[in-house]
Amino acid sequence: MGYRKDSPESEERRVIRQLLSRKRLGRYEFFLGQREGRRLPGGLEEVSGFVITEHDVAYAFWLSWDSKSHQYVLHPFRAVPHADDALNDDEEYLEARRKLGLDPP
Amino acid sequence: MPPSLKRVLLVIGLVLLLAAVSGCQVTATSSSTQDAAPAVTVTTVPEAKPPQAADTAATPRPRPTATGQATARPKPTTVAPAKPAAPVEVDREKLVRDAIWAPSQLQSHFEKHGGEGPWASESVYDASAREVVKAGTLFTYVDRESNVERLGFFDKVGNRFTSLTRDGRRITTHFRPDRGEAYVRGLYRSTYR
Repeated sequence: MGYRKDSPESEERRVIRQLLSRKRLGRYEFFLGQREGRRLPGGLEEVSGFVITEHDVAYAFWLSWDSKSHQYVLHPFRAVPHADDALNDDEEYLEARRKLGLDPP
Repeated sequence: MPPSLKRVLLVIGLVLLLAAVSGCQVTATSSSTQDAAPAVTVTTVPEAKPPQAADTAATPRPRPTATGQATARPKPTTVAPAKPAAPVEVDREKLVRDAIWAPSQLQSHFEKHGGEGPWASESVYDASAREVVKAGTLFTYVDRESNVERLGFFDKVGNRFTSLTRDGRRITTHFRPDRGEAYVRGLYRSTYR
């Protein structure tokens, strides 16, 4: 699948981790992450992606900018209903599940 | 020559002989009678030691901290050198026909990027993404958020970029980069030329 282990963590990912830690999701893994080509006012690039948690719940997120608080936010951030049905053939999703020790869907 | 002077000369001769045999340095200094009875001082010259290689090895090295980083002499970050990506061969027609968006991603990407182009609806936006897959320049790069390789397609004339998962099954985004060609060239480990 072409997973690379030598990519240093980006600043975007570090901020996303910070924001996710406030949501108290427990352990999680990223999948289908994607840079979106636009600089946010804070200087980082917009990023979309998903996480799957140890509780077997998948969320879709966007790293965005809140112009009122002048802070990075994950918006939208929403659970993916029936993720197993929709993503059961997705290699990145399956790899993230494996890393968390979750059973295959 | 008086007998006393003969004895003195004999003693001096013996001392010089002994010094020569034992490897000592002989320094002659005058005594009360400068010509007749010089005093002899014998000193041992210590041999010069060769420099010891152990001196440098014994220098204490900086100890690693809890995070594994050396404090005084940090090691350079080891990042594997970029390898040229293997040539990519894809069946574009198949990708255009079969690739799908992840759940809710067409909608959310259209909401975010819809204003960038003349894309009046989700279906027009989706068609534009597939058009770039069909005709754009193909390259690979590594997405730093998921740490995985992606297929990139770039339409230079229209400044449109579409990304797919490496297996080509899923469209991960479609947008107009704010820096055009420089953006796709600057993606991590981009093979775009």
